[in-house]
Amino acid sequence: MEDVISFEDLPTDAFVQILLRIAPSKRRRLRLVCRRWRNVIDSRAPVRQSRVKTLVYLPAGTAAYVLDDLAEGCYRELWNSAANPDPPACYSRVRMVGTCNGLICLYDECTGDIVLLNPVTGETLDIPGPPGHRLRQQGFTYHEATERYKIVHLAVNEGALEAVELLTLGEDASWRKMRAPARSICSLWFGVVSDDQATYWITRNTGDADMLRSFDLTNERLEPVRSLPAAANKFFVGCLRKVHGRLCVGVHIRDYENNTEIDEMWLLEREGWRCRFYLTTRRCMQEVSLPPPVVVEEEVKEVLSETAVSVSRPRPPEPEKEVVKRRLERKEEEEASESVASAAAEKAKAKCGGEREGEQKAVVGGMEKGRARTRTPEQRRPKEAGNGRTRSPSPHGSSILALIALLFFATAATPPPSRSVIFLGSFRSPGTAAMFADGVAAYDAGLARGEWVHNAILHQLNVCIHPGV
Amino acid sequence: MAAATDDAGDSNEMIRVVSSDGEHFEMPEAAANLSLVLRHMIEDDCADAAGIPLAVVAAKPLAKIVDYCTKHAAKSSGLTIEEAEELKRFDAEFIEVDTDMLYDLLVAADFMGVEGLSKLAVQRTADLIKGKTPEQNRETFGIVNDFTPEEEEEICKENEWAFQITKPPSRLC
Repeated sequence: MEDVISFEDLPTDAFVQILLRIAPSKRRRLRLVCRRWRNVIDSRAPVRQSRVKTLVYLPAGTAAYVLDDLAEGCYRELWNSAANPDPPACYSRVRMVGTCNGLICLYDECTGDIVLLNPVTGETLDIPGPPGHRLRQQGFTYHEATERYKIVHLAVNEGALEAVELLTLGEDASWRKMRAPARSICSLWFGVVSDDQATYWITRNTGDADMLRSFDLTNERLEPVRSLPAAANKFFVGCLRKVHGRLCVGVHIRDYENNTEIDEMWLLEREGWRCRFYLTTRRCMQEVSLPPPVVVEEEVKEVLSETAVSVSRPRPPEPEKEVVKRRLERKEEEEASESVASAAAEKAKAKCGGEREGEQKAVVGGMEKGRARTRTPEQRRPKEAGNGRTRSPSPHGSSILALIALLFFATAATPPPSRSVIFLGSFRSPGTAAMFADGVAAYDAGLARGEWVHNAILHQLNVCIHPGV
Repeated sequence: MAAATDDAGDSNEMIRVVSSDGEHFEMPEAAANLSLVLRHMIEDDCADAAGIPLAVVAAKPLAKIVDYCTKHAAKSSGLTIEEAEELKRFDAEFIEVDTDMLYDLLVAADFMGVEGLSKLAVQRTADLIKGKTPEQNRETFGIVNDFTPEEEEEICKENEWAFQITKPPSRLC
């Protein structure tokens, strides 16, 4: 008996026990051993299909990149305004508000409109901006407790926070205003960060130390301030970001003697602030006026992953003007990809707030099969159609759609990210922008990836990444 | 040690078991009780002088299992730190076996319901698998690669996305 047996005959239950003791990352590789191993892993000890993809959206809408493989450092340009025949000035007005669950929230400074887009399906949704205000700083997030997407706008007047305005998708589509206490000085240029519970920013009162302020999304009220890492008050706050789902404060230190700038990254962990890594940057003799990249943390959940896994193969990018029309046509034609999207859409729709909100479910809910197919763009409300056929030649429309198309291109081939991390950028001085391909990866692997980023995109800079102190 | 002696003293009776290839083994009742299957047999009064037949366990692994159970039964309760350490060392040495024996132990421990040994063998196997490439795993465990080159490539592609570092919980404090 012993002579003929092999591990292939091992009872499945025992084999599953073994597999479960192996880390998912390693288990995944075992799928290559033989069919049985693959089948058992897939059916009994599945490896969560968590894929990393990072989207880099250069500010002022000049270009967007997807980083395909952080380890190898390969990336693709998704979109570039220079390649577009329309005047680039208009792109510079489209800013990214944030991303959440794979949806991207953009703000058009020309029109004051907010556009939500789903790069997986190419759906867009126009959302009215907050009334009476130029949208300055805002957050876009998914509120776990109420299962709603929320956009938070911090209405600032002469440096003081006047009110927090909140729009909840799937509700009545109006902005609700919460007055802020008097003399709430805020420093929004460091960044506004949202997680599933709150929106955070830095507040600064004259003569006082910088503090962290937050707006709680559950209770819809401002929370008491909390302190920043001590280093932030000793030197300069560089930026406020989200890293690995945690708040991160970049502290900027200038070392004039060595002609170097150091950026320490302090993460708010359970025990408090901790410096997880830092960057050193050799200062260039002449300042490079390169706008810092906006790098987003993508958090596509299973819903969207499923969609993308089975969406048909991507096609090469098309001339911009064709994109809009074709996209709409495709919607009618592509039974396959549509039906796939619909399953995910059902779920996504539920998340976004169900049936009631006719307009607002367009982005997410619009992925819904029947609706997407039966509705022609003209049947949609006029505004929404503005991003479709009717307004397609407008620079704004096509720029966004170009982005959609290209993002679609990027994400359809391979499942979209369940997580990707890049966070730096927007440092105080131009020329010291830097980003991490992946906070952890950069932390672990150090220079290689930092240099790659430096070589690939920020070639003007000389950035090194070090483990924290 | 006193406690251990007491334990053994409670069940003086020796239980006889017979391997699939007809070899007879003896162990204290306390040891046999570590096996769910044997315990049930004993409770049902099926343990007679002829011995309990174990149809799927060959002599070689059975000898090891008797060894394991005897050792663990003698030290089942009231362990001092040193004794626990010693038991750990015993386990570590015990499971240093070739893959054939490991396989036999996995199957036999599973069949006989010896929980501790099952865990030990499972962990050992997992440790063996962990650090190896798929090819090395095939070699170690005598597995034939039954994928077509196309399938293999497909899986490789899927695995490209495995570049992943576990994300810490996203809650802030």
